[in-house]
Amino acid sequence: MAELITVDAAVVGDGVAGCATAAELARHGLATTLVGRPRETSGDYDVLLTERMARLVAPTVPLRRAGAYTAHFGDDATAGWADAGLVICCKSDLERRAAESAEQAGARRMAADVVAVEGDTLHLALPEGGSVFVRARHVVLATGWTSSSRRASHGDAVICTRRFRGAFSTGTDIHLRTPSRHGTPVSIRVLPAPDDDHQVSVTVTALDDCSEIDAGKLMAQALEALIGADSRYRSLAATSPLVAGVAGTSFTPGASVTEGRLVVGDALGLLDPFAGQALDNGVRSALLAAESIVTHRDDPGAAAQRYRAGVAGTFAGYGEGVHELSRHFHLAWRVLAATAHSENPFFVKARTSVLVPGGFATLTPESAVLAGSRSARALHPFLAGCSELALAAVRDRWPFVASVVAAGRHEGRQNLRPALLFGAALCAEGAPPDIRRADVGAAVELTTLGMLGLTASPVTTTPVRGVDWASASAILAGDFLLAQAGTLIAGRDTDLDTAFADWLAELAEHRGDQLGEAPSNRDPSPFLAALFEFPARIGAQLAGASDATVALLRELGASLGRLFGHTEDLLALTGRPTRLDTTLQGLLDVRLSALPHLLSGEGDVTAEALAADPVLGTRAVHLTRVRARAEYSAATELARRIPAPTARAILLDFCRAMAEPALTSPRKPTGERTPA
Amino acid sequence: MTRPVIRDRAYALRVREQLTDLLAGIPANQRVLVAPLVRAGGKGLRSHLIEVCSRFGRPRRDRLVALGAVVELLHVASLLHDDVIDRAATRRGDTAAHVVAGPEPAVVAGALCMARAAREAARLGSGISRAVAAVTAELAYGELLDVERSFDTHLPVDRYLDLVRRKTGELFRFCCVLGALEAGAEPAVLAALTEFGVELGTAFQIMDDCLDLQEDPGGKPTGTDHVLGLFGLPTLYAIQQNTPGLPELLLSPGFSRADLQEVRALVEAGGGFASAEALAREHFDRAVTSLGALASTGPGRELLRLQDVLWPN
Repeated sequence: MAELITVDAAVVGDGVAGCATAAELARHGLATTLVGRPRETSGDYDVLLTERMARLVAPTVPLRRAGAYTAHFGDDATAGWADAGLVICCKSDLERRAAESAEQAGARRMAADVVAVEGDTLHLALPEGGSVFVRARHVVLATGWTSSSRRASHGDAVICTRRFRGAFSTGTDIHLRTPSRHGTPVSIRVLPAPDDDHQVSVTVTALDDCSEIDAGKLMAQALEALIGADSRYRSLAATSPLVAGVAGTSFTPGASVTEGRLVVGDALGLLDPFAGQALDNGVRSALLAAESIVTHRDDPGAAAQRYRAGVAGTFAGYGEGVHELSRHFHLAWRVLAATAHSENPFFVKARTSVLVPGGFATLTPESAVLAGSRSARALHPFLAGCSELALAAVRDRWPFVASVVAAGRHEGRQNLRPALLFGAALCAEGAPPDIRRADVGAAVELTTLGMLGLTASPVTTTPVRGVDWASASAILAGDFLLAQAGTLIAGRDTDLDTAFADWLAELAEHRGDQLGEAPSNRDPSPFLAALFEFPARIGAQLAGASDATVALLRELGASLGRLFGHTEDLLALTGRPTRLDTTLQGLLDVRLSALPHLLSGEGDVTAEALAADPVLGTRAVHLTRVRARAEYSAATELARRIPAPTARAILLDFCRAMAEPALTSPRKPTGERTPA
Repeated sequence: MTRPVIRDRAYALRVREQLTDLLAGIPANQRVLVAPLVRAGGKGLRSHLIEVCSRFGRPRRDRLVALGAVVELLHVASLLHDDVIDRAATRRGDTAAHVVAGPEPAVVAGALCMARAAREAARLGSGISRAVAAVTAELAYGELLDVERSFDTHLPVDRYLDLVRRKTGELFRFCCVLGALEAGAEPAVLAALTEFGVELGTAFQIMDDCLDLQEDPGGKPTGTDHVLGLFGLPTLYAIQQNTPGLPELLLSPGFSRADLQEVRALVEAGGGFASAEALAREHFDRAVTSLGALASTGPGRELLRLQDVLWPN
């Protein structure tokens, strides 16, 4: 008789995502079995991932920081990050240490082949002969991207990688190309080897719907392209065998649960074609799965449902198929190349979310996070619902815009996002937020991003041939996002259509006013106040709050909008990362800085002028901080008057987090010198 | 296209008035951008479709006027935005808004028009509001598809037709159905008009592509799309016929308006115009077929007269 083991959870597949899931489950006290086949040594290679994820899954893995991260678009367009929070390690080291970590956490590891999965029971064949049955309440599949994960006509990518001797850079470079045919390199990544300064590894990604690509030819094309970009690559000499494999790009939320089992990691098809990696996404999915199971440890159905929603609100995916993906890729490439040097918040957000593995999770500044708010945790399911609906409205049509929508979500931490303000206002009568209102929250977020897009029209219009990619993408994305937001609002029974249309009109009118006035009067405050006022007011209205409370929330929202503007200025003035991920000049260019207004009479306010004139710089910081603090007092005063304790607590935390840059002790502003 | 539509003049006038009302109180710096577009009026084809299709039932005239103004306003919004994207220098015979005031005011003015249209739609009821939001999203997506195929000299005809359907067909369908729905027309009529609208829109867009390459004394400048790398159906057909030198010319880095004369000659020689026009006629015929018995009714005959706009000679 074969042995029968009963456990809380079984994880099939002991790659990085499988180990991460098992470790998390075991850490939370679930009896967990991790099933893996004895590893085949298909060759070793180096991978790139965020330091955060590497430390989390394999705290002891030897790694090296990826250094400066630069994306090349051919010719002279490059986009770079001095430190994108990335590390490099050897894949087999990472897997081994991740497995050790899972075992240390208490997961039981079994080397076996899965013969069959029936209901909640796995039938395993042991390598030494004989079989074992494992009955698990929760089953997680981390079986990698296999031919069976491929859905007809959906996209695959081929990846091959190899180490070479002959390094000349300590940073990480990624060369992005727009091939006219499938099956030729779209992304070529050059990493310094984790353990050897004289070696690099080159990883090539090609999009194709068949896996019959000659990896040797692909690598040769990649090397040729690298040499074309920089002749020093001519000296590269291979030091390891070529490793090749396929990965999926065709994620759709439906793939996350199959017959009640949670699918995590590469099996989801989460490859990011620009960054050429799926590791970070894979680990994120593992964490989501573990969190869902831990939350509903006695109810597998509820855990699966939570996981599906979590995945749907986190990942964009490119589900349509390789031809569509290729088309979207080409457009995204053009836009990213055309805006590679732009400090415009819309384009910075796009480039960070699309090009950097783990993108915003790593690069979102602390100031954009609502840290340590116990009260805000109550909003988690509601906000997850908002993310899910926002992504669902964009994903199918426009995957790269969906990446931008998905950007910036931290696991377990809440960003200072418009939906948070809306969710808090929905608690204004004491009841927790109604999840059915998540569509309005999603609409609010799509609108905010859409307005950012419509704000993003470039300053110059060079009369060259062809589409102005920067304007085209920003305007079309803006129009599309606003229309999808309108569809979400119009699809519901409560009568918000008019209020929503009025909000859009108000936002556009404020922007128009700003454009028409003299530079000294270009105050973004009315626009920003309107942006935040709507979610606060509508939330309170939908909660059924009294007129007085609605008026209170309305004022509070407007105040928070102005506070947002002043703290953005302050962050930029003092050289800290801003929440809109831009610089002082970036804020000035899109007219979201109040400085031209505050310093009216000082001539043209530019970042350069402020840096060159210490007196002016100091004055700018001073005036901005005074404004921000005054706005913070006003907002706090309003928030204190909210009757419902939960709403009050969240909003007070929100006010404090928003004001934080103005409350902490100031650093020297850019260009400010200590007076002699 | 610049040829006038034969239309209900009283209705067109009221739509224009309503449009002006909808734009009341907009900031002066944006009004100067929007007003010329409203004044020049364009063909008013979209509101015309609403009006004609409403005759399949019993419409309320005031609501019909409001609906006409909503679609014309949406159209104005898309013109403002498209001209920034296309870097078009003129529109409806005037210098384009973004050239007058810079791109950002034009973008903001477009957004404002869209918002005003949405508010008017909300006033007309949640069904209208929903339909307007859906068609706006579809148009932005269609425009994206159009932009995505830039410099594709070998775009397959079915892909071309797919994007034409989204870019133009959807809006025409929307107008036809909206008019009939508003008048309480029968479900069978709605079904017929749905197909009619898409096919008519497709025919119109193909002929618009033909005109892009032909000499046009006023209005829209010719060849704009070609300079952008968006090659219309006549050109795609001519390339499929292996017209020598054509793809090379279109993709040459120094390509400019000065080369359009040669493109036109090559497309003509490759039979591109004739094939494209034949396909446009095919789609118009399908539009007529989808009307069935409705074609012989009063409003049906009015719809058929749109072929005079497509083929004036």
